[in-house]
Amino acid sequence: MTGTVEPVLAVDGLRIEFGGRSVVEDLSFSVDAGETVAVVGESGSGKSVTALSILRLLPSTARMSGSIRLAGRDLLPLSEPQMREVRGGQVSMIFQEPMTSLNPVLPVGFQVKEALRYHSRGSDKDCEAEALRLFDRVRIPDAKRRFNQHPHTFSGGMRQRVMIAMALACRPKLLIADEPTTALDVTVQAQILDLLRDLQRETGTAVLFITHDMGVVAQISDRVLVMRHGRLVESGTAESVFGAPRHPYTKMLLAAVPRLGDMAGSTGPRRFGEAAAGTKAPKLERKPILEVRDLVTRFPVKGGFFNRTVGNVHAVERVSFTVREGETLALVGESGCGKSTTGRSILRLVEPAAGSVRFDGEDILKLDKRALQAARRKIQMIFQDPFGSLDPRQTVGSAIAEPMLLHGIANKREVRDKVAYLLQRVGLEPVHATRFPHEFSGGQRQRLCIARALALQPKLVIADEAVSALDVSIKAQVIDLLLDLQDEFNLAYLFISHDMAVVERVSHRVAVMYLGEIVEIGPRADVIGNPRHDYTRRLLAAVPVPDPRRRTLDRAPLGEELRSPIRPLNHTPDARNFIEVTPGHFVQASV
Amino acid sequence: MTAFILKRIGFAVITLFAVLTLVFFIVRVLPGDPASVVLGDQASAASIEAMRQKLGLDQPMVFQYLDFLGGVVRGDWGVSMATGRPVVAEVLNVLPYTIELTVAALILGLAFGVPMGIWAAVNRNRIPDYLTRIVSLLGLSAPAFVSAVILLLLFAIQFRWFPVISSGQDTSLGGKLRDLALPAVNLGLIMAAYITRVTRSAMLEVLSQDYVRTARAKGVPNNVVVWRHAFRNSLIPVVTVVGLYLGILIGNSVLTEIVFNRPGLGKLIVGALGQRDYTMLQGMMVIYTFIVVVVNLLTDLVYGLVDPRVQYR
Amino acid sequence: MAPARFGQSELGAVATMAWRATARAFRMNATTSIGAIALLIIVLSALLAPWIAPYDPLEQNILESLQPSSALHWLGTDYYGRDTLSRILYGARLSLLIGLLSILLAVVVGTLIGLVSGYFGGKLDIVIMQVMDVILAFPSLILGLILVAMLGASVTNLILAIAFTAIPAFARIARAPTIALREREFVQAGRALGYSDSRIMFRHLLPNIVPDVLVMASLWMATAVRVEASLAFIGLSVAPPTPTWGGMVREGFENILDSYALALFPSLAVLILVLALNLIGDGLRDAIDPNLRTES
Repeated sequence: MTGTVEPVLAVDGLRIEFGGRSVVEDLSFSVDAGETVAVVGESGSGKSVTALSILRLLPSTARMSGSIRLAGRDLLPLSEPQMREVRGGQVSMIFQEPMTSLNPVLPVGFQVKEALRYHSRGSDKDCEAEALRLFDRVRIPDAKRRFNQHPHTFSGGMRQRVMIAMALACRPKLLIADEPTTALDVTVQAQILDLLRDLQRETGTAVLFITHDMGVVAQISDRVLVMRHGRLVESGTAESVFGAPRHPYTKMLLAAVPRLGDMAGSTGPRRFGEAAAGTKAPKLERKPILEVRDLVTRFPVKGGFFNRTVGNVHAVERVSFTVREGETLALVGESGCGKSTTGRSILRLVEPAAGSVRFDGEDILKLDKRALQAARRKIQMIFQDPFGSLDPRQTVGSAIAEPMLLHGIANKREVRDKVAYLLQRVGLEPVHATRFPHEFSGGQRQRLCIARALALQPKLVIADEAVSALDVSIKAQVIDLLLDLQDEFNLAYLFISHDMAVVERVSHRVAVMYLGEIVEIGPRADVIGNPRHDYTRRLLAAVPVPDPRRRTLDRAPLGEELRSPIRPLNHTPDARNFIEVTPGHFVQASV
Repeated sequence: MTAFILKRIGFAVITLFAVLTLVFFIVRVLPGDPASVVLGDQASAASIEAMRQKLGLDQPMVFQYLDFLGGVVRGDWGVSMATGRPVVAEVLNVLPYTIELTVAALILGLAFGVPMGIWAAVNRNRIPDYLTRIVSLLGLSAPAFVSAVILLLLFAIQFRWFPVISSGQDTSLGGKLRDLALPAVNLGLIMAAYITRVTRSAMLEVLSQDYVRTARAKGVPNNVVVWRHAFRNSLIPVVTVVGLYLGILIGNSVLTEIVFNRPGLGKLIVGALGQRDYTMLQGMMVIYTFIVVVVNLLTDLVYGLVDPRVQYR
Repeated sequence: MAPARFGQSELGAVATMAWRATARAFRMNATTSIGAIALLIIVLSALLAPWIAPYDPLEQNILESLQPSSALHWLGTDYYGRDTLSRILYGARLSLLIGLLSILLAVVVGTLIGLVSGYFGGKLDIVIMQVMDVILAFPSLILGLILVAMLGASVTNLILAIAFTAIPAFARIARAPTIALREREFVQAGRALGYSDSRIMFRHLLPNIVPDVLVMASLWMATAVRVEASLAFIGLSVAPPTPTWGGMVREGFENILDSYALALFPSLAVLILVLALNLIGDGLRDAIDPNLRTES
């Protein structure tokens, strides 16, 4: 960082407080023109607060000190009207949630035009023409027609393109991107990252990229800042931080990140604590406990004059698979592919339309209400949102005890000891039993959910994005816990996830879902090491690898966003044939 | 959009039909035979029987029901037992006064309520916010007759600025306005209190949304953020709630009309109650049902105009 | 190590949480406390009316007809020379009784309807809610007026009529969070754990919607008091000479050119009680409103 050219952004000794509690302390860094600097950290690291503080968009309760220099000019003492010139004009920002970041009652074109209007002297017509050009530049198809439409007609990826157009409208010196791809599917993420990089090359804008995803960092950044608890713990070029991390926290963080492809040559799952790959082979010889055959779940689409059913969402379409004792089958795919609905259909939390689900010899779909409640005991579910999975008004001890008492697994005298045992087993303390869910962190809550699921001594656990909402380091710990429990209790997992790297880590076998159907299923090493279906390949290629020396995203294919699984009423799905590539590895034949 | 309007109109007709059915059965299912209600406690059995025949209560229920519906559709709502004139004529005679009053009150309510609500939200937890909250809470705590009596005491009796009785006799515009002023202010203040509160909370909700932050981040001036980005979105809940509160407004107009001795539906219904005018009461319920359904329909249509997402549903 | 306590103490724990929220409401703003104090004074004076009222509320004294405020009659007298202060104190009993019982009835029935309707959803839910919407859209004063006129004016009928107009509001307020919570994962988890529908509804959903219902109850009690007073003003309440605030205002209004006191003081009594209830409701709402919660 030598040289006479002034950096675009120079932050020096920044400190941010909320009501006397400091959330960012002694933070100094700079961003040069044309450079991409990534800020990484887990929740509570202060990275997003830092991003907002540069534009001075923090709530009025925030106290800031230090200096934030934009091309030499300190932004902190500026008045509101002066700041308004900076916002959108010299520094602009893209946010995490494309679904809520655009105003729902204004046409998208107008919102882009608005950014231009308050920063240029051009006429309304000029602004409109320029906005339309921006639509083309962010590659929104059919730009002219879509210009006057409202945000709700756009998909998440398209909305993020609109946000990018808006942010780049006035050719800012600095672009701040706060988790811009976190809410997007992995293939869409690849396209957006690709677009951002192309645009940066053209314009020479400096980019400050806030993210928690080490893969994204490795793919896009020139330099990396690692934050923790409001402080900068390490900074350096991407190669040096990833190749030779110095701070223990960085080392821990990198060790906790699964790298897709790490597991090549092994067949079983592997804990994060273990150096060597697991050696346990897929337990093909074991007894199947769950056999799903031709499962179909559809949701009616209402419309028309009398709210008739005009079509169906084919959420799950003739899905078949088997899970064996003590085995993990991963169900992967992007949002809307039907993986979660499949999980819920098995427990009949949603009612399937057809097919059979044989568990322990009986067909769950044929059970009456009472028998179903009894059968559910043996299959347990863990959900994504650890904040929503526990009744906020029930102590955690009672939450764990309730199912045991209800199903007669323990009587009132024994139940206290059992709760204590379960809490200890998932790494918590027996004294925690009297507390309420809001007193626990996200990772602890997920452990509580696991304890509650284990209370019923299930044979199968359906984990629906069970680790997706957790921070990297917590995620690794919970995965290790799940693998320990699998060995101890011979649990079978149906592991539903969108995260290919995690899936590679935990599973024996993998099934890939697309538009409600399984397109490829087989042993994990085969599916990930030797993908045969087009979609599986696209999915794998889009995963950002946390290694700056392997920048794969340049080759991200420009596929369309996930198509809709909505079909007309009388639609009969095409017959599908599967080809067995290698033993146990099946691929849907292309039509 | 046309499909949307047609759908809402169809829905309103169905609702109207359902409520009329409900009205019919409420009148008949309730204990208290209408005939004895009309004639009072001391009436003889014979005269009650005669009254039952006159009201058609001796007919089978199904027949009564069809007769009632047919009458409603044809505009034949029976004859007032007190005046002997058709109920429809009596209702239509005073309806303009009530509409005049409620519309004036609604305009006043919006003109004061919306800016006050925005002012409070933008200055959250500062003095303007506290002031508007106290004033609006007072406004919605005062029963309409309480505020009406207080207004009457102050402006008609103490200061003599306005007539004590707004009879509606003076038909010149000035006279009409003088008659309308106090009743409209009375109702308008109450409406303004409700609208202030709902606008404030809707604005607070909207101002914390991501897209407001987006607008600020692109350098849009503050007043444009408030009016173009936030206010237009906050209109969506405001419209819904204003539609709901119109019911309260209509209810309060009854009390206002009594206090200011102003002709209108309120005076008509209270008069019918006093005279046990059973056919008139039934007619009043029909007209109130019409008003409620039409207001709901209008709310739905305005909703469609405000929220672009509605048209595509 | 403290023994793990749960199960029986659960209710106690929930009560503690509710209590904490209430305490927070009162700490958070002074206006809530003002409302609570005002309500307390009104309740106490209603209870103690026979001991603290200076006169018999029914005792007529035609010589002292329509007196203004004086040392003898602090708030003046009515047409029959009855003491206004005493009548206001006794009148408070009726307002509070009708307000409390009608809302209690509406809370129980309405919450049950909303909970069941929201939890099961489907066509039944659509029909129930459509009916509720129509009742809700109907001006509650006019609905109450017609019901009381048909049923006859008595305390029981007033309570029934006012409760009927309030039921839809509670059905709505119970249904909205039920629908939101129904999709929440802890309810899905409950089903996955083999809990019955009634267990999920009453053990898990109900405690979560109680705060919303309580806030609504205090706000609607204000409405109930207002509607009762309005009906009395129109002449549809318990028969004279039993004192009701609304009826007193009516008397005062009819004699307004002779004495303003008789119209003014009962009006203020109604206003203060309704305002107190609204202040408390507002404070409670702020305390449980997730948008205003300070804990993350």
